[in-house]
Amino acid sequence: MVKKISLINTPDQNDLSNIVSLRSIRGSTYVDFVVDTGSPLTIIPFQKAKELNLPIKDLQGEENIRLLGTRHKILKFPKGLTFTFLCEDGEILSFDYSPLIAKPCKEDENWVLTELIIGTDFLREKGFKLFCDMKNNMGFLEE
Amino acid sequence: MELVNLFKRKIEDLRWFKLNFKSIQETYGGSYIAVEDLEIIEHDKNYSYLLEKLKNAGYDTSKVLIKKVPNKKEFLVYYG
Repeated sequence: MVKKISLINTPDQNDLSNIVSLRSIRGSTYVDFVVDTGSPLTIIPFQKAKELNLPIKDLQGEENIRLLGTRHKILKFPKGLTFTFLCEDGEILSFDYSPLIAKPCKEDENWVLTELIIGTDFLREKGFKLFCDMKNNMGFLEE
Repeated sequence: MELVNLFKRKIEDLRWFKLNFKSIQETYGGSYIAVEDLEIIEHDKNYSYLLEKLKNAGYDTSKVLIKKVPNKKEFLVYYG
């Protein structure tokens, strides 16, 4: 049975988004995600990593990148988180995946990443197909 | 079942934000907003202050939708 995850897009908001639940052995949280085919990486906001009680202090910072024009340090979480989506048929679909964490270099930066970015790495590894018809406000991921 | 219901509520909050984006932008452009049950429950220009306000009001930030509302002259592009 093919599973589909709806992606919300509206005339004023041209992104493809929905909600995902994230779970670690230490906590859980909800966050809206954006499917970004221009991003090779899947990245979660720093605040969500804190809500998951991930051992952020123990993680090694890698290169700095700019997200939303703000410098972020990228942290690699070595173990997988569980990503859970609600499918169109009302069923739950879960995957383990190890995203990167984007930590703003300054806490008071104007633009802080609040969305989870689903990059092409996630789509490739999990075998998702992306369909979108922006003119008719339709989009979905198909497993 | 509880998980599915919570999911549906969060999805409706996101859909409500996106459908009402222009009117929200009129009032809250340049701020972060917190949405719960199709209402803006808190806002602030500073993300950390918004989180503090939510915690002080007894909200669980892991279950609240938080969005940055760009000004009319701003566009949200992830890499910049």
